[in-house]
Amino acid sequence: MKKTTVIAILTLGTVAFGVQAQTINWWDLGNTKVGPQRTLKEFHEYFKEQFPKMSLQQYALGSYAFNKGLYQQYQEAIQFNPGDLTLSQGKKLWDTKFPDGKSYASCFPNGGKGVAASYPYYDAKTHEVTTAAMSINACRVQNHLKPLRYGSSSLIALQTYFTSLSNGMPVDVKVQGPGAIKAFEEGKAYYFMRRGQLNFSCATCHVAYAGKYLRAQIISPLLGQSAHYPTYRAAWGAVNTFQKRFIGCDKKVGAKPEKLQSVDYRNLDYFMSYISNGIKINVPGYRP
Amino acid sequence: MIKFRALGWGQVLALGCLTVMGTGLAVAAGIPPINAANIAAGRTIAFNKAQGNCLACHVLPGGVQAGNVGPNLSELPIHVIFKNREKLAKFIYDPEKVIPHINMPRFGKDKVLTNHQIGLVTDYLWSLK
Ligand code: HEC
Ligand code: HEC
Repeated sequence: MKKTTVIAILTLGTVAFGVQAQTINWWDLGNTKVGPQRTLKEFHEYFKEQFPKMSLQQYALGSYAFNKGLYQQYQEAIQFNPGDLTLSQGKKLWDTKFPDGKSYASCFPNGGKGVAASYPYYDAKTHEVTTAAMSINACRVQNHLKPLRYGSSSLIALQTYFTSLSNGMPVDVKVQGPGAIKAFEEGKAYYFMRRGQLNFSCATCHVAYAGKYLRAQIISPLLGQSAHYPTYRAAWGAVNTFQKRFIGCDKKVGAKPEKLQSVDYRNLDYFMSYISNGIKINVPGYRP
Repeated sequence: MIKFRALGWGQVLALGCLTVMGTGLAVAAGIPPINAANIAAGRTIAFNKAQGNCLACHVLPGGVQAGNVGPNLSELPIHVIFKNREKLAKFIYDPEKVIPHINMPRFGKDKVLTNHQIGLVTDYLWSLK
């Protein structure tokens, strides 16, 4: 390689890098360990800078918040959200008594009302992030029933109903203590790690390019995503879970998706949900 | 200079820098001349969702449902930025090597496209305007 070429490339590199440092502090968001509270604050500030006119609650709308025409379609669609069918199936299952006379409601404080707002949570006894799907299955096992398969329609319906018992309440995930913080940091690391043939991280799209068009789709910001899951999605023709969506995005970049409820996906779920703290839960959501 | 307005500062600065530094760069030798068939084949690859899918992130002339994650390639002064086709092909092969932290797939390095396909896409981009 000629000397001039080397210099040209080096200079271009420096210039581009200098410029990026100014425009992509999103990179720093992921690559500094500043603890959960500050991470949350910095994420919220980052999005505030990106979209100064948007209120925190508007993030619940995901990509619908970025286009008036689409928002109108959304409003029409939710008049009769097909996801409500799954919700009522979930309610039926939830209300059915176990053979021992107990029910799902007996496994949760307050019959489950408001409980999902702080899900997923870090269980200091088992040292792992615990999700709604796991707690529902644990309740079954306690009452001498077999656990349901992750991703099965009954479990999705139950997750939907359980989460809807917190509708209207703000997401309120807690990250306290060294184990919880470790799980959170691992989820965050997964979010920022590039993977797949396209070599993209979740943050590439949902932090750096939130609000932009990828082909015809508007990319939603991370903030607010967890608050409407499980959600009805026209592309699925069904209600499905937050983690199911991770699989779709992992596939999109050519990465090998993980299994539902894998340690990585639970930590990811934990990190992502925590960032949505303060945004009101509205389940089942509706997406195209 | 009107067309530069659509560009981000990154492009404007990178561009300015290249214009200064670019003088005296070696011109690539041995690349076959561009022909219409190659340009058409390159366009197909750039538009195809299962191949280049450049439209996912870039506006290209005649492309529908284009994204805006990357700069508008129908306005970008590609000849000025890259000076020769070889540099453009190298960029598409591994964009990160040229612009650190760029969020564009490494089409060659990660084997999304073959070198031959990258050559065709290069010819297509080079033919724009
Ligand atoms: C190449 C770009 C890209 C990457 C990388 C990517 N996504 Fe997505 N994601 C999208 C697009 C486009 C959509 C659909 C539009 C939308 O709702 O954001 C989407 C949708 C989602 C949604 C649904 C949002 C909603 O409101 O329903 C979730 C959750 C999500 N992605 C999570 C992830 C996670 C987790 C990762 C990494 C494992 C990831 N994404 C990686 C582009 C991407
Ligand atoms: C998923 C997103 C994505 C895809 C797909 C993509 N690009 Fe890009 N591209 C970008 C981004 C982002 C930039 C801007 C980088 C910057 O300025 O920091 C860019 C910049 C460019 C540039 C200008 C470089 C410069 O110096 O300003 C060219 C040329 C280019 N891309 C060509 C292509 C071609 C050809 C394809 C398809 C084979 C393609 N891109 C696919 C995201 C993408």
